[in-house]
Amino acid sequence: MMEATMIGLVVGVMVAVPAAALAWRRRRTLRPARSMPGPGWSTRLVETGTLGALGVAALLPLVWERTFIELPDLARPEVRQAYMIALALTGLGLLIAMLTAMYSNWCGGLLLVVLVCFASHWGFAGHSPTWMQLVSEPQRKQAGWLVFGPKPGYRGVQLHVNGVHLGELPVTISMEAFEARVPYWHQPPEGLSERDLLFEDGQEHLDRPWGLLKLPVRDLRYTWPPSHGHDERHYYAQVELDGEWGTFYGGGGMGGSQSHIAYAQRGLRPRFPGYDERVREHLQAAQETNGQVDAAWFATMASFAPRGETMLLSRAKEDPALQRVVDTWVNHRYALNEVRGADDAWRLLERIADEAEQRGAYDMASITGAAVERLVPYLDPERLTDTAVAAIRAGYGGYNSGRLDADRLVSLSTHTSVESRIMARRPQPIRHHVFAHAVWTMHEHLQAQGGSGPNVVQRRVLDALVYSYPHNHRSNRALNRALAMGWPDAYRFMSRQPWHRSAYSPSDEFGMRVGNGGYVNVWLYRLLCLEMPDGQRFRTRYSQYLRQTADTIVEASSGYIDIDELKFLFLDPQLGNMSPGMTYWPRFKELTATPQNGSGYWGLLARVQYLIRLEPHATVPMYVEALRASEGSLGGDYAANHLEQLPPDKERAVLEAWVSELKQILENPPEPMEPWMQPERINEEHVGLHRLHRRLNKLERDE
Amino acid sequence: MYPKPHLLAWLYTRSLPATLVALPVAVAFVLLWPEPLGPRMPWVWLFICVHALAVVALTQRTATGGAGFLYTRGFSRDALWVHLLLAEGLAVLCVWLPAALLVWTPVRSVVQDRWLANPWFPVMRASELAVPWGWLAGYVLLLAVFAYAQVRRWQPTRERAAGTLLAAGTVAVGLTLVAEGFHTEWYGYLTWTALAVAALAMLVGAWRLHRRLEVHA
Repeated sequence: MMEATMIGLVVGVMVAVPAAALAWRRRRTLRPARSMPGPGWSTRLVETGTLGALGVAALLPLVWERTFIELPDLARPEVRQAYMIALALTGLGLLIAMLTAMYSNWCGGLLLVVLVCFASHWGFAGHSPTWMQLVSEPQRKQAGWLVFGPKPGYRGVQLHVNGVHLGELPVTISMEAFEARVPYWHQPPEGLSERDLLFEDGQEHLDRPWGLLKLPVRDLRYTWPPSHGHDERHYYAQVELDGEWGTFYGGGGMGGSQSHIAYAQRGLRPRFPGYDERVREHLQAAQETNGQVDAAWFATMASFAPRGETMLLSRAKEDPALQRVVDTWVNHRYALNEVRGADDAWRLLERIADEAEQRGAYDMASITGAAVERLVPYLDPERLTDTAVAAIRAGYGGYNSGRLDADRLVSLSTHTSVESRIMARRPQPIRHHVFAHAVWTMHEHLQAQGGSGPNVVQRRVLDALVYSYPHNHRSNRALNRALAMGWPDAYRFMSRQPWHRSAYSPSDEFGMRVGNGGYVNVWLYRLLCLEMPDGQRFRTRYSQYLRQTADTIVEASSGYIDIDELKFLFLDPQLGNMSPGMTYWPRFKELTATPQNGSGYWGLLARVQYLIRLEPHATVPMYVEALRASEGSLGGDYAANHLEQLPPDKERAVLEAWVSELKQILENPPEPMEPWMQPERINEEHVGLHRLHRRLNKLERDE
Repeated sequence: MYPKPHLLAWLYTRSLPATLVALPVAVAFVLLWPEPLGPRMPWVWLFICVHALAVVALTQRTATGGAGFLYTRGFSRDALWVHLLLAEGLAVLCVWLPAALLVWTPVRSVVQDRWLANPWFPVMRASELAVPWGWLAGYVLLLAVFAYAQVRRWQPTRERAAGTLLAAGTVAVGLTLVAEGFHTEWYGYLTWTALAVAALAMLVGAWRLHRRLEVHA
């Protein structure tokens, strides 16, 4: 903003000075100014009005900046009063300037307008707006806010931090109140180390009763002179629901600061096994009655929302009885069976969108989301597409970048929580998520119907998404989505990009971060991932680029490897043993056996996941090679657990081969990698043989 | 008051140098610019500013180029004013229309796609179709502002630089908004409405002031 303002001022001065000089030079050829009459009232009116309009246009972005977002601060009377005083002073300055221009001296009025603009910039712009100095010191200290969230998949989750109950998630609290209420612990809770909580030791899948929050100590930005620094402290969160203490999984507890709001919404992803079990039992009851449930069942199910709906929909995909329950529920809530045509369907979709907007949230994995999916076949594709394209073209800006953010239309976060509204300068209306969900479902519906050529979504929505972000190559989720969904011009579009250029760092224009710090050319990566015949041709023709990219990703992973990042290796299974995945396997095995690229447990997990992606072409000996490369240790349950994804026969064969391999290892222990490890400690438990036996027993029981 | 073709033609020829320079620049730009055209391209708006300024300055000059002779030929001030505006509009159209046609017809898209192998085409063609209308709106606004500034400069009254300074302020605020964009729709609508009203007011004001214009033969 400041740069743009300065550019405008500089350009204005560059134009104004020569123009004024020219006008003055011309004036000398005429009679002396003092002998001239003043301009008429109409001229005064036009010039003063235009001056005022320009002043307002220049001032509005400055003084309104703070109200584009929903500031918790402005809800407090003293802060609001200070802001209104500052606004009133600005308006008064502009009024005086215009009166001066109208009745006294126009140039004097112009000078005053310019002064008011500069003063407003000083008073309103930046993270430490000067108008906040009108607020008393204690009130100013409260200006930092913490927002704990986002909304978990459960309703009524209570948050405790360092043993103090703060309320139901999401929790918004001033920093001062937080520091006053919550004691600081110099050590982690007993029995835990920060290493456990930080998820840096490869244990992120384990549930844990504490979540780590890194929070700023004190927001210093509303002090004068402004300071943008803050210290960081670690706090420990617990969550509770209906008397059950939850556990945290995935991600890391993190805090951050944005503008005057410090937020801590990451890492609070709780899980409540007991609560889930109660939901499962309730669903079991519906399964036992073959989906014939009464109003009482729905009432109980509603009390489990939103978690109950999520679990119901997840299980309904494979259970016809639960599918019937979903249908009944959708019809009961939205009278879907009364929809007779496209107009009825559109009215219902609008109603759902309006309700989502009022609620401030939309969840695809809910009965509402299921209703949208069932409504789609009745909708007019053209009308839906028009709405989606209009929403994309409207563009919405995030707080950070201020850039167009139309890709939110496809982000479809399942919980659009209050935080996104606070942080976004111009947030995407929640109702757009409903239309986005509908439009993608429409695409799938049209694809399923068949037909030649691209459908209306491919023709119009994907194009609109792509040209909404012509210059945002790297982080363009919309483009990724468009490409993944079969955008007709994808190959031509991408093959003309500079995909062959090297990318080594974030400063590279085309660099895309992979793993834990590697960079690949984003266009090359997208071409490799292209799920079209053109993509297969590209992968075959430029196999050396494919191998280089795979090497970069694996080598950069330094530990856990996200197999999805290597998905281009698995897109051509029809090539059998000549597919990229099969030919790259020896190299992958070699790289993941090195300590820096994920030896031991992580390496085995990566290799197993890799082989599962190669199915049905992966052979049992390949699984044995995978185990052997980890020096014969399972390390944990996870690698073996992943074998569940195999067909039972193959799972059994692999498990038996692994048992045989581990027994051989026990008979002939290898030289231990770690010098502290004694050969006698390489026992059944160490190598994980007992885990395999457990799994084999379970397999037998299931059969 | 009927249009007088000869008068219009004569007035139009006064800005011909600007047209002869601007037309090839605009055509070459539209054909060869590799990035998708959009509403927020500072160089395009700078070009429009300079071109509009040149057209107004050349067409409405009163101290040279036979203006004095023209103003003694019996045309009413209003007739001259209308023909001045028409001539300026014609001069703008001579540059804007070819550029717009290149965008509207597939010419630009084909050149970019087939000859220059630009990845953004033909995809981006649809997004560019509305852009020339924005340029035309900018031309109308700037012509009004510059015309007012020019007429105001030749008034036998005080503060004749006011029009020039207003024009400079409009350009400064406009370019700032082009660079920064509008944060909310209502702010965009409000600003454009305010600018349109201001342009209309300046056109009316310039028309009234033109009746008292000092012309130097």
